[in-house]
Amino acid sequence: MRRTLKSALWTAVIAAIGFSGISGLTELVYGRQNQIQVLPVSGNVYMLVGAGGNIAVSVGRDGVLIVDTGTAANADKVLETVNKLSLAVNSNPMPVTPCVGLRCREFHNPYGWSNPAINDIISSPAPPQPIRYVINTNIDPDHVGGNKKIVTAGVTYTGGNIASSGAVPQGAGLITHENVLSRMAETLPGDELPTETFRLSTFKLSHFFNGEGVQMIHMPNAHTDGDSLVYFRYSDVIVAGDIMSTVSYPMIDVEKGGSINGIIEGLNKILEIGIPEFRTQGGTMVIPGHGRLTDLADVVYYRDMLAVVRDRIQDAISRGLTLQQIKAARLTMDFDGRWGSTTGPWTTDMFIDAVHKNLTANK
Amino acid sequence: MKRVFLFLFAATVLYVIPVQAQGTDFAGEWSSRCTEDFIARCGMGEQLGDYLGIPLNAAGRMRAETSDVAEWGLPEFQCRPHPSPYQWRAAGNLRITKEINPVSRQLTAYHVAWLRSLDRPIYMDGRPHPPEHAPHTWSGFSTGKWDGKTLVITTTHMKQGYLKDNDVPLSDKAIMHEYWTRHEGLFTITTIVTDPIYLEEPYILSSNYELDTQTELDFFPCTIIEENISAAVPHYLPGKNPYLNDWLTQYGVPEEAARRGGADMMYPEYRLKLKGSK
Repeated sequence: MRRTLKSALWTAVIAAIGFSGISGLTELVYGRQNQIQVLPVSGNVYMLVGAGGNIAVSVGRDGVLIVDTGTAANADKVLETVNKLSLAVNSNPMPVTPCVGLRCREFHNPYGWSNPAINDIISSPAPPQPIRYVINTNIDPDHVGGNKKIVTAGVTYTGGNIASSGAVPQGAGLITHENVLSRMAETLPGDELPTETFRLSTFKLSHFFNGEGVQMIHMPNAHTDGDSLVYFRYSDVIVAGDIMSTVSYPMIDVEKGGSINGIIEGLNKILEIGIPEFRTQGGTMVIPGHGRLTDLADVVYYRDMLAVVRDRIQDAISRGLTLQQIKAARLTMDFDGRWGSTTGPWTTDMFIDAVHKNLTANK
Repeated sequence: MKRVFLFLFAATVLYVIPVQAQGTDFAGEWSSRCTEDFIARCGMGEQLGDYLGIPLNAAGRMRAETSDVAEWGLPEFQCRPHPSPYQWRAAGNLRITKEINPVSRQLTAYHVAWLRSLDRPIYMDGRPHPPEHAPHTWSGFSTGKWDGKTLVITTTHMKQGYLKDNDVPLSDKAIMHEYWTRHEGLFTITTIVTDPIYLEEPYILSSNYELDTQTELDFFPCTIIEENISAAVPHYLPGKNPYLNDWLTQYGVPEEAARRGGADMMYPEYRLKLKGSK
């Protein structure tokens, strides 16, 4: 009796899963409450939510490239999710002829009819593609905390004189702006530092990764002095890091060189690069450091809000108001309900302090 | 045991196939007759500073009064569509089409389009609303269900925008409920907008359209514009907007009523307060 009941239950569960199509990528996107959430963004790029700062992942035939790694506490979860995502995208069993159209040449089996193509549809998927690169948009712990585990889990393909002798760690490549390296070097051991940095306004991977160019653009004096936008040029996705948020006023780390005008310039740079698909919607998608996936219209509204706040505080300073008087005047009241906070790591008071410090330092 | 299996099988099948029943057919072309807010909709447009009957809270009032309609001229916003709640009161006609599942012939979605809108699907197939981290759109994400002959629609995931085109704000936290009813050739839409950021209470409006087999949905003249980024963001500093009272003189509306907004203005008792005010 018990066996029959168990059998019936399994039949129902399997039927439910089969009918509702929950498997692979679908399971990652829809079936993971209270875990790291995965949202397909565009092309190769996926957004991971719930690990601290938002994470962008490019998944494809060349492997995995991760922008930001969340907090240290969530690193294992992120790694598990990335591996599942890589498996779902690259290694899913698929029909022998998976494609019609112009680009099908890419899918043709190079070994022709002698290849046991049936392998593609049996239950023996290829292992997930490795993590090859990690890029950090800034130095905050909720964006770099998972570096150690995630970089270590990846690989760097080298050869010739620089092939690993065993003494050189062979994790994924870690890329940041030089200013991030400088600050990391103050606290981290050498084997956790970026393997590749740039000091000019822009930096490009030297070749396509997963079929597209990946470009980093340094935005000086934005959230800090080491912020980078990461632009996936074919998928048309920009990872904004902490220059953009949908849940709070931007964190301006004045001590590390951050400024309100730098944030606005960063948002304008995104608007300069991006193109909406139709009537100010869709097209270039923007992954913010925190909050939901956005497009250019959201960036415009965020930029406008910050410009308005800056102008109001600048006007108050010009009229001789003190910082306390500015706060008492509640110059951000119309935005506080949406972006402000009285508790947590970044309050409205802290934001006004930072903007005030920026604007008075400029005099 | 057989019963248990049958129950589980039935539950599985019911999970997969949602029960649908259509109450009313709303498909067709509908014309706005401007029977409400004629001056605003089919006259000279919304007046700056006119917040009559809108339950604005203090933040909403400040946002409205410091906004500059010149924002509409930003290169980045040249083709900005109206947000869903305002579409019903904007000028122009609308088209509603049906998306039908070719196999089951059940209604998958209604699609609504106005002059200045994008496609607005209203899903009728029981799909859930997206998670919080999904993008917001001008139309928002709408699902509908029947309450007898009335279609009840819930819309989330709207972008921020305006409740009226005189810069009464709408936040991206707003949710809209709609009640669609049809009386032969008349289509009545009651909208209830809840906005925790800018409204004290839900804002309720009803709008009417008339079935019009002779009308077409006009082309919205928005094409490629010059490519640049705004050098400045138009706005007024608090208390410095000079245009808010212009219309009061013209219509003789007391300033307190026109400018303040607020939930109490929506109720009949407010007339008593207005007596004697200037």
